[in-house]
Amino acid sequence: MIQVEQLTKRFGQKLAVDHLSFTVEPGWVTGFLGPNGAGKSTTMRMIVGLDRPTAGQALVDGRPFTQAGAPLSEVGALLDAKSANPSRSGRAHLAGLAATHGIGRRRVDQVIAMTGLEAVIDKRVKTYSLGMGQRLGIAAALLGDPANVILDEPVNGLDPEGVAWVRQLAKALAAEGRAVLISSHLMAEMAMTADRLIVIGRGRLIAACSVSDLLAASGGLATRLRSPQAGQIAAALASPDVVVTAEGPESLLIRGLSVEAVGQAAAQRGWIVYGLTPVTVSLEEAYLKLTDTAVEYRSAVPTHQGAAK
Amino acid sequence: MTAAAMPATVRRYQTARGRGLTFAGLVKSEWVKLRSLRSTWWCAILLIVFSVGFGVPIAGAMMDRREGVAGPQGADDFTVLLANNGLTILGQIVAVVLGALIVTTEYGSGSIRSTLVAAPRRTWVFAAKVIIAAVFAGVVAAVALGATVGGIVALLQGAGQDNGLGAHASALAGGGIYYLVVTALIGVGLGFVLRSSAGAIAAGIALMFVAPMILALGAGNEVVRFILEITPMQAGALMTTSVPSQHGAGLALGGYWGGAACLAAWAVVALVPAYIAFKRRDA
Repeated sequence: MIQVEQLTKRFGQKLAVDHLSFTVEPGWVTGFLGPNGAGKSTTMRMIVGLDRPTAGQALVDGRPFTQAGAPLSEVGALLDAKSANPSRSGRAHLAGLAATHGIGRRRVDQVIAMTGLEAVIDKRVKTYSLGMGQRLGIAAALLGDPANVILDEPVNGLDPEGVAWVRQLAKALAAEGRAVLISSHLMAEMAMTADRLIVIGRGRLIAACSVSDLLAASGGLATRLRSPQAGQIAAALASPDVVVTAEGPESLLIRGLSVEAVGQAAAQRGWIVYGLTPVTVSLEEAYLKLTDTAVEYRSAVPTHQGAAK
Repeated sequence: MTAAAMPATVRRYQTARGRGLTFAGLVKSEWVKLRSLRSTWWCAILLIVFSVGFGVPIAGAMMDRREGVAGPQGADDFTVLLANNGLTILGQIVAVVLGALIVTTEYGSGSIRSTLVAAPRRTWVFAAKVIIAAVFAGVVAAVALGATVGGIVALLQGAGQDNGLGAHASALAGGGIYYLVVTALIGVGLGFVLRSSAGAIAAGIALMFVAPMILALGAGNEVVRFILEITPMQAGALMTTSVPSQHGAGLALGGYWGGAACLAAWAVVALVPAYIAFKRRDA
């Protein structure tokens, strides 16, 4: 369990993290969402003691992480793709970390196998692809069989297979009773991985809720339907709970009904349906709406250098 | 989803693997990290090659005028005096680089984050790095010095002279090794403060090499001469290239033990700010 209490970090004039409080509970994947530069990485770095909070505190299983007796068994962290020396072999990187806790060679081999790095582990890290580097970071995070797992943008640079692997791994780790905190700036990614969400912007908490709460807050379910009978269907479905918007002569956006409900209604009434799609962008929209005022770096501003990640 | 039932059945993971974080484990970890970098072994090889490569030929060129080189009191201790000369000429730079790299490779590569998440007790991490730097620099210096002494003794014996190992041989050898340990620790200190390999190495060379040369230009001034005499290089010379009974008169530090104390002070001056910076700054 990770408890963040009134955590604050100031870099010069800039408040990177502003009185942030939340809890990461065991047994769940908690998604940590926010635009780039929102303070996610800084918060994670403060949890593991890399950065010193300006105010407030972060507790891991009830005490500051810096006082942990077996840190690798309390928090496994992937903070940055660059956290191994490129001139060292992956195995030497893991062996160096394992030695701090007297963790044996067998466990090192285990995490190498778990992350599928057997073929490259004796090569120098500079030869690794971004994805292999991420896997090495995850292997290091798992060395101590940690009760809490912190992954900062773990799918950055991974191929689709790697993304799916991280997603499954996060869920499996949570199912084993660990507290898992994963950051991302992509809502869609978190919707598929996380049970709970912590959304921040400009260092402040915007929302702490479940994925379905966020969905509900964003207007709930929505379905896109294509039919030559669009006008007739719109009239038939409209109700106080269902809002139907015409997107074109043959296309409707139906808010408040699931794909299944619309499909059943269509079958019962004999409507001709060309297409029926669940609309998930509403999640992304909800997220954008939430973070709209909290975006630090707008894409309209022709610069990329500000982004912290 | 079965996760709803999960929090009730949470497994305990603490210390499920290994013995937990120990200081001995950290020292071992630093050794694993040090030996797994090629730069470490390049430094070690360079130190030995420079020591033998400068020490033996210079001794060979000087061995027919031992008294002229080492003074009447040093003639008997010719071998280690000249071996120390070879060891330290460029070896002091290599030792600074070695010490700096133990720290700066971590910051340059980002592996400091891995290190500090595995071991958030920074005092322990600092102490482990200092110990490993000192021991490794000491062992490599001892090997380099031993090889150089062996080469010089072989030369002297080949020329029909005595082996040049006098009463002060072990004190001088200890001085040479001690000097390189201190220079390595100065490198460690600069590494922690500057965090960059280039910066720490440049600062190390400036302190060890350039500062004495510049100060020597103004040695007529009493204050400048005092500062010159307490630079690491000059303090080290009291232990490495003059016999213990030779110096003293007219020098700020006295002799061998004054040099030893001054070098110890340099190590402290380098390491205390480094410790404070490491402890307080964000990693």
